Amino acid sequence: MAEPLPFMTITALSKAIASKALSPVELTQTLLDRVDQYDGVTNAFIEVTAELALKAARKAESEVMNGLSRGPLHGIPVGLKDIIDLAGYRTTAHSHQLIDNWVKEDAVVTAKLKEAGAIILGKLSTHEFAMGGPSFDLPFPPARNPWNREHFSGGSSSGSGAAVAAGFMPAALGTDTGGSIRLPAAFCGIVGLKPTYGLVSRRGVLPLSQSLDHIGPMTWTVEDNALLLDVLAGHDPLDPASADRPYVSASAGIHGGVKGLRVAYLPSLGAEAGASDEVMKGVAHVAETLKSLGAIVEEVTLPPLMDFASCGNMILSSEAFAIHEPNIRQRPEKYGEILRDRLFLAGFVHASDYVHAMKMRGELVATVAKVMRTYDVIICASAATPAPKIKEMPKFGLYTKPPLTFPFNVTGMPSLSMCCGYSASGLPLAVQIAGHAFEEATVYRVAQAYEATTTWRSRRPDLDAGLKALAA
Amino acid sequence: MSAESTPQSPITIDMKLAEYGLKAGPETLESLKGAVADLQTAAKNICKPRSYLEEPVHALRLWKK
Repeated sequence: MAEPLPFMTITALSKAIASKALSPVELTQTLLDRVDQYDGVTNAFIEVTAELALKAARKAESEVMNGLSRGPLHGIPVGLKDIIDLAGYRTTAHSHQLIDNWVKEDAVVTAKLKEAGAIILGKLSTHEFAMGGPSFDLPFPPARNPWNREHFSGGSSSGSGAAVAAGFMPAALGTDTGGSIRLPAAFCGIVGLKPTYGLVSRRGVLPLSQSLDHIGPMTWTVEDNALLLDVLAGHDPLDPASADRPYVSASAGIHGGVKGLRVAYLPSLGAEAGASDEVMKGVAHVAETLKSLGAIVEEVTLPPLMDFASCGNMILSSEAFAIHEPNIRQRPEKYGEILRDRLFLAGFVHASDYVHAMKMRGELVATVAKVMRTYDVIICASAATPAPKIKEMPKFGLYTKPPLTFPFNVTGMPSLSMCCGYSASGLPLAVQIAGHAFEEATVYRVAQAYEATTTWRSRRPDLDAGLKALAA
Repeated sequence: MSAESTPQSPITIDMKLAEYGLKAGPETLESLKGAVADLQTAAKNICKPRSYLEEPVHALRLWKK
């Protein structure tokens, strides 16, 4: 085991556990100690579930010692964004509204993780109800970027991104309605996948916008991400959006390479959003690398980002307002200011706007599908810049500065964000790889091929520097 | 048409605040006005004449049994 335990991948940890060279109890305790020492830097946790984790670790250890294997997640600690239910614990959504929301049943994804032998290490920070911003008037502080705690960790799966990058756990679950897995993945320098709409059950997860919500894995490496998706994916007859179709393993062909694959390179998306030179160069380098590995790379364009943003935001606002209207009318004081004002704004969307947005969504899906007839994947920037400063995040801006991730929520296609370098200031840069519906395996193949050519995975945030900054 | 409304009906920020029993300071009010104007622009961007056949509900039928 060359790497320290907190920095080992699931793939490596799994081998060590299966060969009995590593005890899940030792691993879990090491990570709990690390969280205790450093989470003041990141505020990634809302609750550390130490007792539950150690109990599960002892069970995993006993099972392994008795020759039972539950697969690659057996004995692996993971975290849950705090809108995902964990039986016996609160799901707070980082909000005063749900501060006493104790739940009795696991979400489907939580149950699947437990069945696979994973160890739940804690509930992780989120933007309030996955729609607020990094707020300072909530019951818990906002997550901070482990690369520089003055910077935003991205959101809304803010704690999940920070925790994985900080080495508190090798994997976490996030949710993504407009980019909430891929943006924290981008800003924290990890891998985050928004799967195809309908691939992963959402039952037991607080909704934000039913036709845009997705749940997905966040990890340090591409291969680890695919291993997690293999556990999470599958039909749930009780989730009306769940796709009833056979699942093809995303991890099985991950090392297949990109020779002959057709890659649509979309620099116009970043350019429209005024992306920084560092971001544009980083993504261009990914395109060149894939070409050098044998892919056929061609430049394409899609409808303007603002079309996706206008359409997606109308849908998101309307569906979120339908969920939150009783609370915004009856106890608005229990929301933080950012979410309250965003929900207030959502009250201005007309029913006809929503219907037009859904029709436009159909047009956008068809237009992108036409482009995708010729290509296997699209590559583009994940975010226009590296992580901005946390105190400079605007309350509004979804309509004027939309996230580059939004198009793939509107279309429902799978989309992955991964590190493609670092800025001069040492913050991660990120590329987005989107694929055909239900073809996550191809997205992972491309991502894996690129990751294998880089040294980006050898850097980690300096949490001791973060502690010093915190003390200063 | 008010700058504080989308084209369909003149809903003002004051009306909405009163409806919800909320109070907003001058700074919040100003940023809300800007945000509502952005929303109005987005609404104009999406509200175009479309055929009845372009129905909205099957946009995400990505799979077949």
